[in-house]
Amino acid sequence: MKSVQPGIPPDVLARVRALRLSSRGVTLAPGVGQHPSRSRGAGLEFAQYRAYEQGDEPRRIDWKLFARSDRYFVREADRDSPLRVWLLLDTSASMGQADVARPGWSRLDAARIMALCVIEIALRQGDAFGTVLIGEDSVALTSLGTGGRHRDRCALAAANAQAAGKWPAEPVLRPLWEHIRAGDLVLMIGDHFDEGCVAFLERLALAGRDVVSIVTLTQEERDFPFAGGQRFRDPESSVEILTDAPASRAAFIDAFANAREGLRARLAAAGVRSAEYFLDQPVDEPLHILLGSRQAPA
Amino acid sequence: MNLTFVFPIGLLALGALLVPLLLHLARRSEYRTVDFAALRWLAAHARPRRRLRLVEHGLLLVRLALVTAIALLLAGPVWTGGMRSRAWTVVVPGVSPAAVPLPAKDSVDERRWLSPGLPRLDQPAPQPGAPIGSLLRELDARLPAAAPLTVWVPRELAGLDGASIELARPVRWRVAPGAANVSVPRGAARVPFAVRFDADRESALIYLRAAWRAWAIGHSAPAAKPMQGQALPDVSSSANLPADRRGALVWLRSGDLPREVIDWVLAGGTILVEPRTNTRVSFASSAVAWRDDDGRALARTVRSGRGRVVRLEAALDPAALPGVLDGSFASALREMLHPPGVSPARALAKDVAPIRNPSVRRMTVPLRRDLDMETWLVWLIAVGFVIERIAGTAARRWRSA
Repeated sequence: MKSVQPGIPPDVLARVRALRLSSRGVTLAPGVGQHPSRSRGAGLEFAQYRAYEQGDEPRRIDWKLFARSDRYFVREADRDSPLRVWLLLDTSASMGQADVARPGWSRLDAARIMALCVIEIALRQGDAFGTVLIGEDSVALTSLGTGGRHRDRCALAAANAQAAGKWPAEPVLRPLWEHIRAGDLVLMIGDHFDEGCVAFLERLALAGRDVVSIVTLTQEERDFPFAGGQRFRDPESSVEILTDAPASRAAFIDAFANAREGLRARLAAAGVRSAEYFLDQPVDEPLHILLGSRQAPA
Repeated sequence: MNLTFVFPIGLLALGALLVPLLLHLARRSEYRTVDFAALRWLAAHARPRRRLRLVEHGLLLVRLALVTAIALLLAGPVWTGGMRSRAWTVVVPGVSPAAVPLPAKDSVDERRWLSPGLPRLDQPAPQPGAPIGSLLRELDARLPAAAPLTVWVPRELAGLDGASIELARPVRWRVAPGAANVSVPRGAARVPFAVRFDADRESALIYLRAAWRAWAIGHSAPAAKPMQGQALPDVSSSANLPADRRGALVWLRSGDLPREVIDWVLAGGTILVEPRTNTRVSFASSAVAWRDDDGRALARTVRSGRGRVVRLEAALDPAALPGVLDGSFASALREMLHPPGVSPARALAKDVAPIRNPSVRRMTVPLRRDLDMETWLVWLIAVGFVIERIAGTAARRWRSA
């Protein structure tokens, strides 16, 4: 098993090693892992006492309690279970956007690296992971799995993803509900410009999935550093707007900041943890905010 | 010293200055297209302000200068005035240069032949026959106003035209003993002509000889004396052209005119024919060249190319044409062969001295250019073009790099 995944810059990988994936809820996955689960059994974390039933192992009877109460009680503990991590990547055409200042570094490139980092963490923790590439009016799913070969399978799928098309309609997303079960950790990486995307995340969160999202934005969308007349083109709808950049800069930054704040509030209301990532930041920055102890910048 | 233009309409080419200006403006309207997914929050109503900004100022300046220089070159700029008013002495060909007084010591006077191109007097005498009046007017217009002008002319002056010579400056008109400035046929009262006849028409020759002799009588020109009493110079029963192509031709032969004779007439010759000669020329628009006392037409003339064809109404024979026996036949023949109406191009030099008329001001190019602006402009344009090409292509190279 290779320890270093090609594609992740070594410095990023080094910083990410300290992070741990954790779910806010309890995992419902079977098996033995590192996350709190609702499955009862022999473990360290006390869950409850229950009355003895026929068939229980005699060694699980709490004899000290029997001495006090003269009744048989079985001590139950929460068993630690593995986590099931789903990585959702938006691969619609808008994800292909890159800054003019750094043409080779698109949103999708950043999302790919972030997904690989999370896979690396999950692999180390022994958790199961799978990727879902959502874009071009379709959904490409790599089912859950563990191990290095499954990591490579997911990395290959992510590497082959091309930014094209639009966010698919709701019926296309419906099969995902069969795979993403309640209690799964869902990490969405995308620009969240599509209403369908945000609605899907809300529904996932309300249906008991632990949803985390990384809103990937470009530096131009934050700063709007254009000068002179510019023709802006929406990569998904091919709508073009010809505008004088300095004149519309203040209005755009204002409107876009409002939109970002609205999105954050909406996701928070649905119970989705979110972090913003701008293309000029270190690529592991949102992972530290969401998975580590680092605070989001004000 | 001031700047004038020979061809001021050429300055309209300055309108081409708009072209480089537009070229440097047009770049502004090219907008870069940027992929921008957050288009929803971008206000579309803020149209880009079209600021009239010029780019690449250095290149633009070079291009403007280039266009300006080309326009100036087209307009033909000249500096007028400021030339030294040196005295001019022109000599009409025909006057011996030795007759002209030598210039004073360390004189800077210009001494030229009055001939097209105004060659210097120390060069061989040019061919005579140039239009004297026209050359004098041109010289008067091109000389600085204060330059005194002396003209040496022979006693007889040819090459004059219908107008008197009016010049804006006073002219010292010096008549030198010398030949006329053009060699004209001697005995101008006689019109030289050749005769071509058939054998049966030899009887008509006596009337022509009589007229030829009559032309000499009473003509007082001294040059005519040696000719007196001579027979007709060129009489032949052949059909070839006379050796002296400048004279007229009397054609007393039947049948068609030979091709070479027709060509000679078309080139400017005058031919007199009898009715039996087929000239292949239509006399529909002819004029009467000779009438008898009763007013009947005895000869008609018509133009043919640059020459003339005169056709007698009857054969040159007293029986058919009694007019040949008249005393007036000699003058009638002269008028038929050499009609009056050509303005006199020849006069005694003392009679045609130029008249001073200060109101005659002709604006043309000065004769000498102390400052040859056109050469400098051509060099400026060449250098400017090289700079423009280097700067223009270099800017493109940098942009693509």
